[in-house]
Amino acid sequence: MIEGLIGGFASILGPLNLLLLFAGTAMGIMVGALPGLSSPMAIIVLLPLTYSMETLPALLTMMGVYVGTKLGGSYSAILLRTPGTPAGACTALDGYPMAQRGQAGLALGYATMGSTCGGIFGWILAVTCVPMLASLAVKSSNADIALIGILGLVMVSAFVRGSMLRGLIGVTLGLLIATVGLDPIQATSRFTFGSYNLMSGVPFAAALVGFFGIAVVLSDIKMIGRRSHMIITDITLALPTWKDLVKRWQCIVIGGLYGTGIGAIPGVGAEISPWIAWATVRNKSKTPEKFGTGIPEGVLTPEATNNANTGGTMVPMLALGIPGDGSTAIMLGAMVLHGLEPGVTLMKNSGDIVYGILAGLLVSTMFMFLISWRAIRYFILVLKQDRSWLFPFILVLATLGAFLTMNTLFPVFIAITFGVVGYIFESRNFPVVTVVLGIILGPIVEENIRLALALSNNNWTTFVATWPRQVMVAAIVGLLAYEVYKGLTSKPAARKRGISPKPITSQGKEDKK
Amino acid sequence: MKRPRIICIVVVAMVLGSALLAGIAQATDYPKRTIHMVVPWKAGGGTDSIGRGFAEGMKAVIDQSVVVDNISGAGGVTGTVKVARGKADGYTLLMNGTTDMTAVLTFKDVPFSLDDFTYIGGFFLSPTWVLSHKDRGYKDLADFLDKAKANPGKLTLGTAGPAGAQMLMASAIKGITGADFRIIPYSGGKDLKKALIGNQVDVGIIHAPVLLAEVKAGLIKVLGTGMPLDKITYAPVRDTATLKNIGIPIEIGITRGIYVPKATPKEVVVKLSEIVEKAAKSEAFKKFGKTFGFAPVWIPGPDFEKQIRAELVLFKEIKAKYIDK
Repeated sequence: MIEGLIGGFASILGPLNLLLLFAGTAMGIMVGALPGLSSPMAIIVLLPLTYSMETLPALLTMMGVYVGTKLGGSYSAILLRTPGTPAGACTALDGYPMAQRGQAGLALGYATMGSTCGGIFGWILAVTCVPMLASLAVKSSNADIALIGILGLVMVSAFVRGSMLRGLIGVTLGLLIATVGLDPIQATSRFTFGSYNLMSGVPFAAALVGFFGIAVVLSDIKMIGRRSHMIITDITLALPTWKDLVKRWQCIVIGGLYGTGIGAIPGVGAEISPWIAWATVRNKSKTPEKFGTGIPEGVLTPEATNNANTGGTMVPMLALGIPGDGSTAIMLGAMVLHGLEPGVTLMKNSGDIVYGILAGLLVSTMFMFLISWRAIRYFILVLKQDRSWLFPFILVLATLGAFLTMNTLFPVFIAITFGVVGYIFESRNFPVVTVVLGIILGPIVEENIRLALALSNNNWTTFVATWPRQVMVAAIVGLLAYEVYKGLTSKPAARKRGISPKPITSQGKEDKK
Repeated sequence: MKRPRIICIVVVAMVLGSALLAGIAQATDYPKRTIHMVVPWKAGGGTDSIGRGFAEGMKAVIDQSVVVDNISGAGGVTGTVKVARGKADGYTLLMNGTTDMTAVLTFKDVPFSLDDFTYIGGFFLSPTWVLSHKDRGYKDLADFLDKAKANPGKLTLGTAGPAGAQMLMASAIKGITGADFRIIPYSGGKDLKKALIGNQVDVGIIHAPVLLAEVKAGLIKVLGTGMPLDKITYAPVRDTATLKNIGIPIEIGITRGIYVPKATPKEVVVKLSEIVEKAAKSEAFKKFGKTFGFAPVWIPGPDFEKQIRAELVLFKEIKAKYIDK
């Protein structure tokens, strides 16, 4: 493992790789800082741009973006109260009040340090877990994979903003879309309407381009010509002292653990873990009432969490080939485009790429710190600009990205269709991410359930045959039962699930000054 | 008198000559630009690797560049249809495996048929083989079938895909021998590979040389093969018993070849056939074959067409007899 990692670092320490990683990280911070642009969108845009590159540099650029957006989201959360990414939403709770008090620089400093420490924390866990899990994963049976997928789907619907009911509706919709095409066991055509194009189903990469690329541009059209109002314009970053950081080590450790742990469950991703970590730190604190009024802990925790998340999502992505969120789903798509075979054999067949990506994760976290430390004011300048000129480029590159997944026009039409669908969902405040995960995990779950049953001669007890499976089944049943119980006992008005006192929507709501 | 006649002859000769030259020129100036080789599968799979290896072989033979286009989707149908309906000028070729086309024609109603193509030739033959994890302890396919007969409904046989050549081969073995094993259709080679390495299925049917590295390492055992393995680079498995050897009268293997649309001009077909034959026999492609696991073959267009049509007949028969019942 150590040799592999050293090899990984050696392979990315070329000037070109470092440059791309740096550029990707800078682009990620910028994209993250701009409300309305998200990390999956930026990675979609990179798909055509990196198509002709070698595999590792292409993936490194995407990794840079992925890491950078996590920090970038906090800039706008602190300065505008509009998080640039869903993952940054929690940071606004304490970050914005700090900025209002004139401590914007310090809030940004805590965000930077939180992200860096969390990122390193997540990286350490990822580096230990990926090789371990990869060797275990080869032995994982179909029943295990099916349960992991179901657990992911249940958790994403339980934790999504809004209600679990909405989450379940979204997931089910995604599962329905995933049934299109030949069924995996008998090859019966389902909902193909005689079109051979639909035989292999709705291409999920194209659907992602629609949901995260085209839909976002459609909903951002209303921002054209609007500039953001910022409470402070002259900002210098004030990094917290070591003493201040060490005093708050709990925030980083809790954030790091939640971020990595929740990130490692397929589907749940970054959106929810900062809220849980924030709530945990608040409950443990001696002064819980201060949370939400602008205290450093409230910035440090969510930022540590969402960057630790990058390490967490690497675990299922690299060890199992299952994406943890939209960004990793597109990265997996990019791996396929570059001729890799994501899945349990990736580590064995392309170990150099896996270790290269892991090394890139750490280096990109370092770059993120350096950029934020030395060049934050240029990124804040971007916040003030009108960004409508970006939209045509995004549309063109997203369309190209969709085309490239199959080299025909069919995925482009799929992308446009899902762009419109995604816009309608997003404008009705419906969690698109649940639909996306239904589409991605649906085929994995279906195939593995049916294979597990076929292998066990249709004996359902195969799903509770070993203790890890029992734990997973218990978690699935427990989550659903808890939700039903809560729904039955609580008053209708209180049913809306939300850990935040003031719900903050992630995208598109901005000051109108 | 004589002079005009000579002039006449000269003129006629010149006209004829230039026409002839033009004809020759027309035939020989192909290929004058980049050739696109459509591989109807995603990058990174077996067919794609062979396609890229063969493109290198073609580049060594002609002055033009050869680009591989992965037009994937619908189990290879999207790219295949695209070429069948595309320009018939010899600049867009289809590179696909025989069973990938015949299996989909057997199982599904698809918008192409074997009559849509002119067959340039086959250059890479991979028999479909039967593998098992060493811990399962099967000596060979006959041993597995005996044990399946002794324990009806207990043993499992995985195939790479629910509607492909492997499924047909599995159904034929089951139908002809009467051994009662359960067929587990994995959704692709990747999943079956994992199941075999993880020892989750008794035996698996997949195109050779998939898992050759594990075979060499001794983890996976080759139990049988749909066609003779004499061209494989790994000598110890060359004399593996074929289906015919153990009394199952079918032959199954995938031949990768080049196809062009039916309407492609004859002179282009002739020239292209020459190029493809040379490429199949080129050092560059031989070298690829050595690293990939099999020595290349050369099956000329007409024989290749005969082979694929016979394969379709066999597949339809197997489906009617042993799957639909």
